[in-house]
Amino acid sequence: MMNFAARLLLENAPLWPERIAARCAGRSLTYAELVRLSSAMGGLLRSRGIEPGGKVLIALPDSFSFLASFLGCMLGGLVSAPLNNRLRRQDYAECIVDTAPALVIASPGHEALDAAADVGVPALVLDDQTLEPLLRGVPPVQAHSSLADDVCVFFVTSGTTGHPKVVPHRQEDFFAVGKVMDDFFGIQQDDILLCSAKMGHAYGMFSSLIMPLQVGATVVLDPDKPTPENTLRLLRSEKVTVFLSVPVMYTMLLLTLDLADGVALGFLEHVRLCFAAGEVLPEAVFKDWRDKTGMDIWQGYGSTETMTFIIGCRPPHIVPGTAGRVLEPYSVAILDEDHRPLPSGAPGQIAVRGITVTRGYHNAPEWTRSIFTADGMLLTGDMGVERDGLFTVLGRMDDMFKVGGLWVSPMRVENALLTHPAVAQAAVTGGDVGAFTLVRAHVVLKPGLEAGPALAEDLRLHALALLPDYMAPTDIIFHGSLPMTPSGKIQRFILRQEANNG
Amino acid sequence: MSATLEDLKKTFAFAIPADVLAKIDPAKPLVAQGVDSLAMTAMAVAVQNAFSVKISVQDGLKLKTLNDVLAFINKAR
Repeated sequence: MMNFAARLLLENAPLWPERIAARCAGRSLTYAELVRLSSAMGGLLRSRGIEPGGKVLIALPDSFSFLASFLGCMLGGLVSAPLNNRLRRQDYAECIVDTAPALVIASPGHEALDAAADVGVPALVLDDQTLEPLLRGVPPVQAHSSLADDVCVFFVTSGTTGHPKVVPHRQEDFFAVGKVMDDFFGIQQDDILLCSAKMGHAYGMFSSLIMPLQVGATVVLDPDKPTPENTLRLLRSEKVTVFLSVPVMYTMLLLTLDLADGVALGFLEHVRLCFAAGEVLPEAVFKDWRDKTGMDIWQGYGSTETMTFIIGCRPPHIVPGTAGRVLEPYSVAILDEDHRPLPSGAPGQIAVRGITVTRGYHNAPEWTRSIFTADGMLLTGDMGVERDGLFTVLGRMDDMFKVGGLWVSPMRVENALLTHPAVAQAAVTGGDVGAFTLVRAHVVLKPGLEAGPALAEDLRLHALALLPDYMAPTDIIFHGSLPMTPSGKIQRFILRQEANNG
Repeated sequence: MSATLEDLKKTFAFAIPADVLAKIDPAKPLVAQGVDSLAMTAMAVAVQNAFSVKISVQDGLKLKTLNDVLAFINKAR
């Protein structure tokens, strides 16, 4: 049997039942309670007729309910799809079509519930207030005898078209990620972890669930959107020792506090490890943080497809501006356009091989074919360069980009803009200003309409009503026409270059 | 002619909500006054566009308050 939830809950947790597994909104959950709630949740789901292999879509904030739902599914042999809970009804509807869940679990009033109702999929409304009464008296599920190769999770990420890509991972991947991350971070039982990325992402999943729970440490869960205020409050009040975040959060923290002031430093009093991933950490942010706090930010590079970091760096081996070295047990190559390895110093596509790499997208054989080389290496779609074993990530090969560590699909944003009556054409690119990454929209208006700040604001609000908030454009540039290929495709890379040079 | 705080606030009319903008203390960090990362980004874009300046990563990390932003613009111009 190879069931990672059974390892966490039935083998490990009984060694430290009274320890605190998680803290959320000022409340504590012991390992014994985590076992009881997760086992009962598994029992409840099975009693509703969901058989091993059945799918459950989870749209919950980071919370005890999330932990119990996710682990309950895994323990009972179900496949859960934990989703970013800031997506919109349309996104959830597409996820439901793609994953065919038997049940949607979401918090009260969540847009995922509307999407479930639209297509007649049963839903369970859940939060940390209703969790305990719901599960009272429910018999625990018997751990499913999963095999190493059994898919147990669907992570959902986005592609250029905006249509979700469903990335399956197997039981064995969880065991392997646990090992890779344990080797890299060396989390101890008395560590208290806080991660700015949510558990609907692979980064949040291993930071807030796999790493702490496998050693009996404590995770601090923030159910809300991560802000500098929440983060500072939790770092201090929860005595966080390991802080895992995204570059923009470090920027915001640097802009919040006078960190050089000894009093202000109180919030980092317990922190022994700062880590950043999700986007490239600007060298200036790394240096400013080091100057003001005396701490070096560890870094990692990976993807939903690899489920963990495959490249990383930690003190004393951090070269600012680079992502670091390849982690065991992965092998990484830089490939040319024909997928042949390039020599050191030559930029090309980053490709990886290793145990946790997904076998391919769910129900999308064409996408799957497009991400593997003939000999089975995963093509990341990222450009990179290697020198003396140190890797630098240079950017995307396609039009995808990230803002605040979260993927933005240009076509998803363009389609939202195109529903505005004033817009004739729209193209969306990533950009940056200062240390912030942003969504930039290039818009051609319908004839007779005049460009101006008021219309730009109207377009932004229009997009905001239709999109996850981080996808709404921050910069809107009006054009007379957009650069097109002879076949009529918008050349986003030309717009990107123009905006960067301008 | 130097830019003033009033010029700056006008520039930010679309970047941050009016109620947040009205209460901002120009000497205190914006992030500590309810301005989130998306609004900080929008403000930086507005500054670049309205005052024809370019904000580098290093510059960006020093622009904590409205007064910082104003001093930056007037020095850059």
